[in-house]
Amino acid sequence: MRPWLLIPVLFTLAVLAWLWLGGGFDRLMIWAAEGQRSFQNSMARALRALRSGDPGALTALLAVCFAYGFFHAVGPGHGKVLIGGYGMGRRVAMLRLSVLAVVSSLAQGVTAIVLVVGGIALLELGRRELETITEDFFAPASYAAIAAVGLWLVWRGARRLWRTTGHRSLPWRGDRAVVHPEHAQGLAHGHGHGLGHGHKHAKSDHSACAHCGHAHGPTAEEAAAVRGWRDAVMLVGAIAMRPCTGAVFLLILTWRMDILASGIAGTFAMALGTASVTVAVALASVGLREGALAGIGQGAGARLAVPVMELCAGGVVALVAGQLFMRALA
Amino acid sequence: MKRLFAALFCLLLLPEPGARAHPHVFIDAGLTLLFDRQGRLAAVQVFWAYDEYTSLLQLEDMGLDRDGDGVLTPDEQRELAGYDTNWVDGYEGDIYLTHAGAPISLAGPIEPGARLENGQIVTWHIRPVINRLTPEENHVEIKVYDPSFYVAYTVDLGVRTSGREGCDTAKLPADLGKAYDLVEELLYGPSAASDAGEDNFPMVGEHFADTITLSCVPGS
Repeated sequence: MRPWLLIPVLFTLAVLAWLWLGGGFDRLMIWAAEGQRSFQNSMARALRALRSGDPGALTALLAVCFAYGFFHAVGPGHGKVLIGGYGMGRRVAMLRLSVLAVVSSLAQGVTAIVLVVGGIALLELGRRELETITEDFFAPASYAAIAAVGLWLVWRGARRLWRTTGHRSLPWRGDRAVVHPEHAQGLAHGHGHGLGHGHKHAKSDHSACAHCGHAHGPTAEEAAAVRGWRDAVMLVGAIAMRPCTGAVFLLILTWRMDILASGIAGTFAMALGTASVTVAVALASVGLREGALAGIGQGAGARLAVPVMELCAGGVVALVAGQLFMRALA
Repeated sequence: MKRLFAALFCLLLLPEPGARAHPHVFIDAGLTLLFDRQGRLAAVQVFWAYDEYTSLLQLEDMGLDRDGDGVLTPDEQRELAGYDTNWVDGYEGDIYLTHAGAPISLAGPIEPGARLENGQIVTWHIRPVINRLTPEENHVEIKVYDPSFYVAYTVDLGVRTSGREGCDTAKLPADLGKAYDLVEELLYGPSAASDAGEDNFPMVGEHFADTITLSCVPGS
């Protein structure tokens, strides 16, 4: 039991409760909408300055794009839900989840670039068609993928819960694959992973395949590592599948204005702006999870808390994304 | 403890007003209420000033202001006029009037015009009132909004009256906090699932709209 670790958790909860009960979220939304409006105007000004060859216009555009991405992510943006839910539901090192957040945002930007450059250059699509494709195809596809990730978390949480509550694990897995009570120890342990861990995943993924027929099979650690690597790909893929409409507009606009290179740079700046919010959410979610678990300590409570958290987080992600998916389809 | 976690997830994940909720286009609107000789409300002239980004998109779409100096030639101005008044069926022009609570029917847009002003496209058109009416005190209400909230309107260009003395207008600002609560409720509340799939996004635009009231001194 480390009660002091509960302090940041309680603090975060208090801030959230204050925001929630005091109407702070509404103010946040209003602030985000107003921010988006003013940055939309600033972006137009920067683009016009860029076309007329003003020095410093590119810097201005990148700054505005970053801010636009930030405000966009504070408002809507499912990437945040997914990253936050994943951070709460799965034990992920903070650094790794932050890297995932940045990579998925950048990948989202790449999708927009591929869509627009491909759409305009190869298929000679117009703005309306591209907008339609974004909203009618990529958006529902992305929501569906995210809902699937949510269900995946539910499934894993349920399976662990099943095993923890008396149903012993499958013989080839061993007890270590169950709850990992040692993992519930908290932040100090979590920091040991991080980026290096991510690289190891990539390698062990290959080596696991190379040893597929080996009698011992992959160790529990390796299995967890492979799962982590697949998770990463799934997460990034699900988020990146849907290009941001704002980025699509920017790219089309700069293409028309013959300053596409600046548009591409701006798209990445936008992605980083979005990532700054998702990274914050990632850090908060991991912090909450680790802090809460550490506060509970080990034993039966922790053994239940881990799968229950995973199940709940997955359920919420699946529900929210599922609804967005249904709406996007209609 | 489990309950605590559940509450925590909700707090973290709920405030997400949907991917399509937030507006992509921002318009500053202005209104001129036109009265006839009998002092009846005969028409509304509507002004829309698009945000600079949407304006730039539109100009590039139409290939106008190629030199980028922010000035349209008379020819370009003529070409731009009316680009936003060729309405599809079912589009009501984003302006809604009521008289003593009953909707006032407006005819389609006439006499469209457009100009470019500090990077913003400003357009205007006139909507004749089909059954002209004598406004009584506080009984004509006007709201400017896009039901789907793709466009966010503010009535910042002012509301004027023309052709009659003794009329006054007032603006009652929308309760934005309540509007955002409603968006969350409709998207993620208990009743959200039941109507999911009917619409892309709940029709919440009205709740973000300011209410303009028109009051005239009788007999003026």
